[in-house]
Amino acid sequence: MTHAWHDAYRHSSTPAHHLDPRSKLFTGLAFVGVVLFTRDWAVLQFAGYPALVAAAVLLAGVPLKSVLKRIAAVLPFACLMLLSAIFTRLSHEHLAIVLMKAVLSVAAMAVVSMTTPFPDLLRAFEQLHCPRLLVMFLAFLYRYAAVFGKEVVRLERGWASRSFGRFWWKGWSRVGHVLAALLLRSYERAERVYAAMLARGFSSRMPAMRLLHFGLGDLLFVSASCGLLFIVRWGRF
Amino acid sequence: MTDVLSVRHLSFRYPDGTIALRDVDLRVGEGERVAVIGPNGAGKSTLFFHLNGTFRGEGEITVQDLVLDDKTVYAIRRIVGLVFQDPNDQLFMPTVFEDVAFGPTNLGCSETEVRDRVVRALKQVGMEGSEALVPHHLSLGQRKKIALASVLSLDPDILAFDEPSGGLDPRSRRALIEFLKELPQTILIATHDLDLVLDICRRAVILDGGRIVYEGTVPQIFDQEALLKAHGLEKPLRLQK
Repeated sequence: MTHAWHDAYRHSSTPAHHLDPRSKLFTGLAFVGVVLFTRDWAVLQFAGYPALVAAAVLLAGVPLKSVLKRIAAVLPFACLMLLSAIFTRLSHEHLAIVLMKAVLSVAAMAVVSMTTPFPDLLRAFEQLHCPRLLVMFLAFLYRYAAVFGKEVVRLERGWASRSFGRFWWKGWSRVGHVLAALLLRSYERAERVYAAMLARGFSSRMPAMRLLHFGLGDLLFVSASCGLLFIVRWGRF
Repeated sequence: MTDVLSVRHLSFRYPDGTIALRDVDLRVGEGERVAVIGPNGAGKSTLFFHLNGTFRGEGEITVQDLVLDDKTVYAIRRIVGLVFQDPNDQLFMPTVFEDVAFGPTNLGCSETEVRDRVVRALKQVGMEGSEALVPHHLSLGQRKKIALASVLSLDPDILAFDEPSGGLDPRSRRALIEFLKELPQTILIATHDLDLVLDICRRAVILDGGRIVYEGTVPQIFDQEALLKAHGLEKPLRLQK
């Protein structure tokens, strides 16, 4: 069972898919950082940043529709910003810049996640010295979100099969019971998982192995991307 | 036959007060295949969790020459490999490779050795080439195989299987039986699947209400229909007239 929301990675064989996840993650984060900290936006920035993202989408062979779907996730926040702009008398230009920053950041990270399997991203985070506890937490979240999702579906079916469509509002009052059942099941599973970890020699540290390879292609990619980013951010024409 | 595992006067009570094991005695010889059978809630899984020190009750457990205590628990976990009933509990890493490598890495093996062990274990269970897959994309049968590989990569001398055939379709179940028959290790199996016991084990113990109520050879036990019935079991389908 594959969850589209859960496994963003798309199988393909573009050069972007073969890059070391660290180079993609580093470049993606560098892009987000530079975009977020750009204070004065001129034509070069307004045109250059989206062009860089568009080039990444094209080179990675990622479906534009999927990227747009992810960008759509920003819309509720954009609406809130719009409301806030009305009350705080924020200029249109500032509003556009804030929106651009949000949309570009999400789009850039969407390209990274759609060209890198999530386990590889986790390894990249780990080797880029992200706190191990956080990486471990994300790894468990990734592994058990699918299991948890299936349990939710089973509980929902059990509930639906006995609700007969009548007095549906009464059913909603039982959501708390369903959530409690899920919590208890998750708690019990966590105990069994911990037992499984102990059974295979876990003491207190998660083992780590170097499974990634940073090659010449990655070096060229990171250099070229950072060079272009530098030109767009600090270039004078 | 030398005993590789001995359990003496083992008792265990869960924190909620439920008594799960009462004065259990069990001896297993080298290379033996022993089934622990009994109804639901008999204490089979609880007993297995004691064999590698995951649970610690009152009594004494000796594995090979090691008496289980705080000092020997890690050494014993290298000897006794526990295969869980639900592979989702056992496969907790993001990819198959990392899961199978988890044990050997904890043992302190070098990266080359870890890779060798992973490849060997996956080949042994017929899942070679699945290193990059993620467990939630696999079928139950495949997850069970990977769970087994994750234990085999530790090279244990004793394997304890908790309900190994649970949820498998007939073809996967048959493949599992054939696979278990070939394993050279000492094997303990906790199960209700008495047809599987008939195929694999020579000796069985009946556990009910946390006590071992009967111990004998498989034919001896399966001949006693009243005994099986009294403990929530049924004669294997193949032996029923």
